[in-house]
Amino acid sequence: MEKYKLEFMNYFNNNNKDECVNFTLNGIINNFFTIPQLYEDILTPALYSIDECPENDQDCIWQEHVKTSIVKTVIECVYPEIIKQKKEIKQLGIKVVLACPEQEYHEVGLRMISDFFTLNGYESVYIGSNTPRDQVSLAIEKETPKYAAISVTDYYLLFETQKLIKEIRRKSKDSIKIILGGSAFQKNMNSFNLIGGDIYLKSYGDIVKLKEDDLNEISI
Amino acid sequence: MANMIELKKIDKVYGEKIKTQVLFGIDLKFEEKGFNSIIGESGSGKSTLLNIIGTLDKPTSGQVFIDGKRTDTLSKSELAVLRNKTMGFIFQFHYLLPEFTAKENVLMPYRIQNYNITREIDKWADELLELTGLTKVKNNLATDMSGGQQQRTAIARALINKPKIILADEPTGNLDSDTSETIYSILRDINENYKTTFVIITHDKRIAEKTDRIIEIKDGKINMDVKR
Ligand SMILES: Nc1ncnc2c1ncn2[C@@H]1O[C@H](COP(=O)(O)OP(=O)(O)OP(=O)(O)O)[C@@H](O)[C@H]1O
Ligand SMILES: [Mg+2]
Repeated sequence: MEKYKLEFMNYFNNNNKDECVNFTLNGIINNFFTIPQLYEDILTPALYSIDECPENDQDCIWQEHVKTSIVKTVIECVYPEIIKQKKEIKQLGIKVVLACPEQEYHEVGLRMISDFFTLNGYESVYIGSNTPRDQVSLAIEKETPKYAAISVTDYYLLFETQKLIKEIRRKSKDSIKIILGGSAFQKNMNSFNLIGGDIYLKSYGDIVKLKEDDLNEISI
Repeated sequence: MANMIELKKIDKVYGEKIKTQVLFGIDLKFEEKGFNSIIGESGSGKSTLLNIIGTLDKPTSGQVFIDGKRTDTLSKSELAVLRNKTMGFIFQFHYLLPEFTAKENVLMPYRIQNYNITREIDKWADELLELTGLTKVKNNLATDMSGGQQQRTAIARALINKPKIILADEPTGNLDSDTSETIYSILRDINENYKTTFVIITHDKRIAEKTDRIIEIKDGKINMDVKR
């Protein structure tokens, strides 16, 4: 994987969107790497590499936006492959609604998770970034998912997340399970239960495990 | 990192006949150089807590340690010295002395302990006035300045003794958002340049989200405590 990552980073560091996309599609079609490998071992480190802006680097923020946009394009270009793979995967009949709290604009992680759920036979309803509380609730009322997955990057949005989860539970009468993830929790796991989380997700492997649990439940 | 402030099991009950408990068993530590904020609904106990940290008010039970020193065993005058040397205060309403100029107000906490204004301290006052963008109005009477300028004067005043800790109760509470932004950057610069520990009570979400740790007080207890 290291070799592929280096090659991708080479294009990525030069903001070469076209080559990033070509390289990715070529890699997926020729089975050099899987989609989870692409997301976790190539795209995630690429995103982290632009995470921190040093104060003296004036160009950092717009550069970060350019690079985030490259990653988003790459992810969307892979979607036809997900459609293809979905046909070969047993559907669980379990829905997951995915959203970021209001003011949270970092949605790429959640978008990846959404595809991970799809690849494991879940039905993903991806809402995306910056979603007001009432809108998440409405979506949940309509879709009646087993899980609501919420991603939080900015730590100060943990307060908003707590309110969001309260609202979800009020509307869905506690039947729903709340999945939480995102880098806001890295230093704040002690707040996880307080905020109202049921399950903490941080990798593709965690979703594979969740699927096993759900399959066991179904077979009982 | 060393703890600059440590609270142990702080309870606060107001009133003699009718007792109202407003703080319940607060345990809290603030590290040296930390840039912290306290948020929470009106009446949740934020100002009470900050006044106890600043030894302006005494807890009903529990202990306050400032820079490693236990404060409840100090005499009134020892406490006053500790406060004057270690802590700077910024309030929403700045309590400048109206009959003095901006610069004289800034020098006041120094004057309380020292008879003479040395050349160094005079220079330091000018530097602080420069840092807070007040050089042009430094000889104005406190009453002849805008609200934002008065607030910045109060910030400069809080810094004159180079305190290790600055406690601020809604320092941007009555200011427009651009001025709040300016005040925030001044506080942040001080934090970085002088390694001052900050505890800032704020209703302003945009200020809170720029601090490195946010503590939410709810009904006199710590509800959430999150870090960047
Ligand atoms: N001197 C006092 N005597 C009696 N009760 C008091 C006194 N000071 C404060 N209180 C009560 O203690 C509670 C907490 O007050 P405090 O001023 O700490 O709240 P706060 O969180 O700072 O609110 P705000 O955001 O409105 O400033 C309130 O219910 C208040 O009425
Ligand atoms: Mg108050």
